[in-house]
Amino acid sequence: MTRIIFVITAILFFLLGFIVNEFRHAKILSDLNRSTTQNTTQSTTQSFQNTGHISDAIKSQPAAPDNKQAPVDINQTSRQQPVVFSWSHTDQLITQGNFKEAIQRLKDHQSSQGESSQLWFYLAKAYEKQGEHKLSLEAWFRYLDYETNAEHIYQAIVYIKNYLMRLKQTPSLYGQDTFWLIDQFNKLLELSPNDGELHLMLAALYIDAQDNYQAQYHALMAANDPSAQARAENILAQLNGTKVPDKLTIPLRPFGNQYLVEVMVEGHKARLLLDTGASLSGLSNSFTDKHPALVKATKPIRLSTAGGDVDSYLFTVTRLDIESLQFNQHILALLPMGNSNQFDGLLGVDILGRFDFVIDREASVLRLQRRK
Amino acid sequence: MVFLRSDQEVALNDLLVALRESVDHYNDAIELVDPSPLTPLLREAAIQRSQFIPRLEDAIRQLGDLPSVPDPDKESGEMLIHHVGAALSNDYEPDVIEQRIASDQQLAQLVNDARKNTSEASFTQLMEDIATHITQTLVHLKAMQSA
Repeated sequence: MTRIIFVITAILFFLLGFIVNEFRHAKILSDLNRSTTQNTTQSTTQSFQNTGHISDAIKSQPAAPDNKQAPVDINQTSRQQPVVFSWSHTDQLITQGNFKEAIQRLKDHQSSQGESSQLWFYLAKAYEKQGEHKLSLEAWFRYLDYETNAEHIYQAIVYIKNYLMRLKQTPSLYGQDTFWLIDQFNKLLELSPNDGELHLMLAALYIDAQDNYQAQYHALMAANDPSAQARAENILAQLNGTKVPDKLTIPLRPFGNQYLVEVMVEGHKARLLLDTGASLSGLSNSFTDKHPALVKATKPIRLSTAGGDVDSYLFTVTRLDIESLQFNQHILALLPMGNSNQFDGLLGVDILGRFDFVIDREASVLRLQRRK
Repeated sequence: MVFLRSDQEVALNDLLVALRESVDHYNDAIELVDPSPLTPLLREAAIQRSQFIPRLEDAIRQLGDLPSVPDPDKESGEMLIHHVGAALSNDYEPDVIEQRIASDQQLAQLVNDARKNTSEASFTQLMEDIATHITQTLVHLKAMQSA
């Protein structure tokens, strides 16, 4: 009987400890996220204060583990007798600025107990406060590998996004290593592929890295997100040098119940089918066969069709003109159309979507208007 | 560091990606044939199918993995091929039905693969629900095909 009571009591204590720890974990993540979200929603001027906040955090970290300003009891305890590992103790060490010891304890715990979401969470937090931003980001992504709670994952993704945006404002914090930062944004994008803000950041970073192909790709992706569209248009204009008139009328040629638009691709005349449902524009294989020099900077893609897999690719044309509109370094898809030559490709919303447009069926014209 | 996914994680994530692609293709097909007697079936399939996605995402997270998303370039490229086909055809409905049947048969195969690697009751039920939905959709599509 005594044994049973003992076992029940032990289980109750274990459960209580587990619940308290989970609550603390969720609360810390929530607090971190809240403070970061607040920081990034401030104005540009306040963003500089935000940057200052990081610097303050860096400055405020203890110079050494035996910093006298740090609470003495924990350090003394750790030197005099071994302290059993606990998450709350680790959290306490981080809160008190004793990052080095916290990290050491976490690494010891990792060696003995293996990896877990909590381990990476606290490591990420400690490294960040220590100013080790590369290690911190690595730990944040490892945290996401282990975390299974959907709410925690969402909060962490938002937190990482804001963290990366803060870093981008201060290149010295990551050693001005643009390619490293691009990698981090790309990793995050895998988890949040439709986030226009992330695409915008990547477009800007790729411009810095002088990779206009990738910059344009991400600017186009950002343009699909209404909240990022205006800024994406600016980047595209910067990349393409497109001077967009306020209004433009483009003649259309009926094709069944659809329309063809005449364009020039690097000086070669092409008839493209107007397709408001296509997210990409493309050229037929017979057209590119006739003008092989058009195909540059290819990205292979394998397409699944009812008839089996078909190999295709994306490629970049140097210049595409529609009437007085000029698009530079534009990405197109190769369309496997066999021997069909009724038209030379599709004109999709990657181009049309950059304008307010109306198809005037009576006049057989496409009316484009610059977005306000 | 490289993470090795379990067979179960791989199977569920493959199924999730195929399911997402399938919903996108059903929605795209509606635009290609609308208005058509086929439209309600396509729309209903897209709506019902999209409801399995959050359940499948949760199941993947419960395993400690992260839900995957389709390659947007591949998906856009496939849709362009369908758009070209529709533009060159006087009646594209039979092609759409054929594409959807082929795609749903592949999806059914992925569900079977996932079933083989799934033992938990909650996952098994989810697989059953998806399989039932695909079977019913295939029955309707084949009926339209032979009509």
